[in-house]
Amino acid sequence: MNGRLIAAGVAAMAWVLLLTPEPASAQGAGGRPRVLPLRVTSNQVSGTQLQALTESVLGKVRKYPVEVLTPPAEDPVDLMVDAECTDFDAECLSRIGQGRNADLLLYAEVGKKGDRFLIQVRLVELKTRQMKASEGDTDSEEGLAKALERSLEAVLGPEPSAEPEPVRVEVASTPPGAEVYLDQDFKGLSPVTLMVLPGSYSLRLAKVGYREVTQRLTVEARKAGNVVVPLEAVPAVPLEMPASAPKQEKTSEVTPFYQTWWFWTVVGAVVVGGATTAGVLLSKDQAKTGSAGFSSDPRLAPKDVTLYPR
Amino acid sequence: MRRGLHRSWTFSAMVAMIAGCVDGANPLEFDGPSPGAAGRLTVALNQAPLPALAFEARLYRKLPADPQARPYYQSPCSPLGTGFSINHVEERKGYVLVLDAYSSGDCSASTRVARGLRGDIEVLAEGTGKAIYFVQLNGIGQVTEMPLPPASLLDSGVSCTADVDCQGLEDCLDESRTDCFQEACLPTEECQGGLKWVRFRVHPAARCIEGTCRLETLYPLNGRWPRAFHVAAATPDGSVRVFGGFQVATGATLNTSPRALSETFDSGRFLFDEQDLGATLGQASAAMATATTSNGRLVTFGGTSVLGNVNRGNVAVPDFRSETCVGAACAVTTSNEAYAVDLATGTITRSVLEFQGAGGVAIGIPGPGALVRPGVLAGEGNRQGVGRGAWRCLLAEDDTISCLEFPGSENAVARLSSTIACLDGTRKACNDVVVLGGNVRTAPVGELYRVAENRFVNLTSVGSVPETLDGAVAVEAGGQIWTFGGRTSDAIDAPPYAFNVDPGQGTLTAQAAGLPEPDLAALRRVGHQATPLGDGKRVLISGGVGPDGKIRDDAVLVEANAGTLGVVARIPMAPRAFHQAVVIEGGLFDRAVLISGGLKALQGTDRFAGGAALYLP
Repeated sequence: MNGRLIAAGVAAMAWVLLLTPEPASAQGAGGRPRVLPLRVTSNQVSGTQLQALTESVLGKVRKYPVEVLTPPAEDPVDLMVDAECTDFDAECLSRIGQGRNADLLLYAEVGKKGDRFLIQVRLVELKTRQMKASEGDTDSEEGLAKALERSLEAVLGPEPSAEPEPVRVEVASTPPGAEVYLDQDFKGLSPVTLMVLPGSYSLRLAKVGYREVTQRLTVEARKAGNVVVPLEAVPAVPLEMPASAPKQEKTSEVTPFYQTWWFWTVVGAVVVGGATTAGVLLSKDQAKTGSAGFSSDPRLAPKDVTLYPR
Repeated sequence: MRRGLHRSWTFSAMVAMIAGCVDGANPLEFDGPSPGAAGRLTVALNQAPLPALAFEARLYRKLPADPQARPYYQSPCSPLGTGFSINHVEERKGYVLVLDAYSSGDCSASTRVARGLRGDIEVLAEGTGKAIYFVQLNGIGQVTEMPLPPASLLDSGVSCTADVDCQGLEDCLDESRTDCFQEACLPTEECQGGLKWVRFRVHPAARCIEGTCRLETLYPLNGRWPRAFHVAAATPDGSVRVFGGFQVATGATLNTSPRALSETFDSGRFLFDEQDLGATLGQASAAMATATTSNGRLVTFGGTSVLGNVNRGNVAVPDFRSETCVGAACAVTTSNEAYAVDLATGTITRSVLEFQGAGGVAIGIPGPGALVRPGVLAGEGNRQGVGRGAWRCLLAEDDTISCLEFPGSENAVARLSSTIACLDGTRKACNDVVVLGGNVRTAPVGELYRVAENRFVNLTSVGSVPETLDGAVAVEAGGQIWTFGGRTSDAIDAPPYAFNVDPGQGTLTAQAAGLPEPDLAALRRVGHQATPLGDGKRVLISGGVGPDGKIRDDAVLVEANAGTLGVVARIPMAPRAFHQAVVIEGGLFDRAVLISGGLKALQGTDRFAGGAALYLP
């Protein structure tokens, strides 16, 4: 990075970083800094909402003169654990970014205090481990995307006024009629004409009876292009249970009774008189699906799932 | 399935009983971290033995190396009721659940009274099934035994000719039985709705042993194989590797097993794994001299495949005979093999030694390597006797071991059942090695090996050093060497001693601990373990054989400070002698002690103490 400009102060670091490219050999295409955004992390919003917020971050960052790398698939908390650190500070984020061919790492988190959502955004220059952070808040889940954009601008600087022009990309498939998704957004059935900003995208085509195809689509400024995706037919398979079928009934028929935790709890409770245990496990949604039950009573250890055939 | 149960009056009565018992104690419901996810964890707490008021639960998607790392979900500090549920958990494998219980309502760290952990948890997609997981709550300051099969499954009384007779299913004639469940019928069967009521004949993991269905182990919740005089060592990642040892009691002797199976306790999952060492580990894998080196290798020297009882002072314990014997009269087959076990990877490298022996002691020295003081040694003419002298053994880059006699140690006396300690440095790279006691009388009780100078010194006893100290265990605590247990005569009578060595003068002094008689009595034992807890002061003395010849069912926690010793606590545990007690290094059970194997009786066929236990300091 340009040492003279960095010396201007950490407060201006991020924006300075983005506007002062190093020689192209050390950076991304066109000498632009490579930014690695992590997936937005939160314990407060749904997985769908998190995905939408991550897309929002990607969309925002793509408006800057940077090369935006694909976020790692793992949750940032997992990455933190892998990096053997305990909080998302500059040191930890730098460790996470090591070896990922990035110049900058962007981290965003949504928390909650009382009724308000709190947003934290951190941008770390991996070479120097300098970090710029911003915080924002909003009182509604609907306002999260906007609030996140404001926090991003606080570390990235104002959005460049000269918006890059959308580029025309034709997406076709053989056979036609496949659903076309760009970064999870449904764009229509192939063939379809997309107008997209320069950047890197995930392009997915799905069609019943054919193997789904996902590939990377890199769009460069002012370079229109065509993509033709051949689809491979897959052999017909028996249909699954219709979605409308009552799942609980299906489960109770196919799941051996001895593998259900609440069954063993009842048995154990009666055998050993541990009524408390059974009370807990039975008191709510006793046959709720997607559950795992635990007991700290050693008399129930013989009922542990590891002892049973899988 | 549920329809069937509700139909039965037994189930109705059961629910009524349960409801009555938990009246007013509703379990807690927590909103989990992933609002859109269908997974749900339900935890029932059995807090009866714990003085706990509150708890915290943490759920990790993978266990961090740093205990302070942020979990996937952390519950609020909550009153300890009957249990709780965490809703909205992502469906995936490999979760680790950590439960901490506290004696205060605010879950302050200083009031933590128990910790439980369970890994390998799979939260399944909706509609694909459910399971129960056992999570052991380990009380702080207590020894918590890992679960063993109940007597009703250890010996079911059900006759069999093959495993399938025990593990298979049979029709339930009375579907109201609590162990009956519904299973899909075979295509060739005619049954209503495609389902039939069945039950396991005994247990899906039970085996047919000598004509009777038995569930001998709850592996992987506990160790599978019986062991005594075995080896255990902590790995760098919070696990403990356990291998070797006697596994069979035949008549008056203990024998090793032809199968060399190693087990590893993973404190990050609280489960055991086993590895088949095949022919790698020789059959003489019991009573090996072991040490840990500075480069993370566990090294073993010699060993035996058989050992009988020796009667001393009317107490018969498994031991080597101190008389010189020839050929078959020796009744012990010793080994000339050494093994280096990479504790991180489990890789074992075998070497052949210049000497052949068993029952010795060893300690890590710079090199990396180990100083080995054999117990019994095989000599010329098929003779076997008590060993004198020591070997300096070094590890090569390929983990092979080569040994040379330590210069001057040919002047040492013959010692059996001695103990080894470090005067300067650590037990992984000791510079001044002290060997104390053994079955010697009116001879130098101590000897010193100055490793850097390649110099051996027979220490001159000064003052009240006991003339004999046989079967004691030496550790470093409170800035000096302490020995615990042992004999000063034919009786199991030795008090703890604080030893001081003056390397320059070549002298040894000892001071018996000034403890009240009840504390001294509690510390009289042989075949025990003395495990320093890593704080430089506290030592856990566990199990062993008491003066009355009975295997002790307690541990004593002592604290050494500047020449004084205090008993901090006496802690009940299952009877174990000739076991192992190893401090776990790292993870959420850092400095806890895994107590594994051992004998629970000195006679008969049912001699082995099952499984393992955990002491949480």
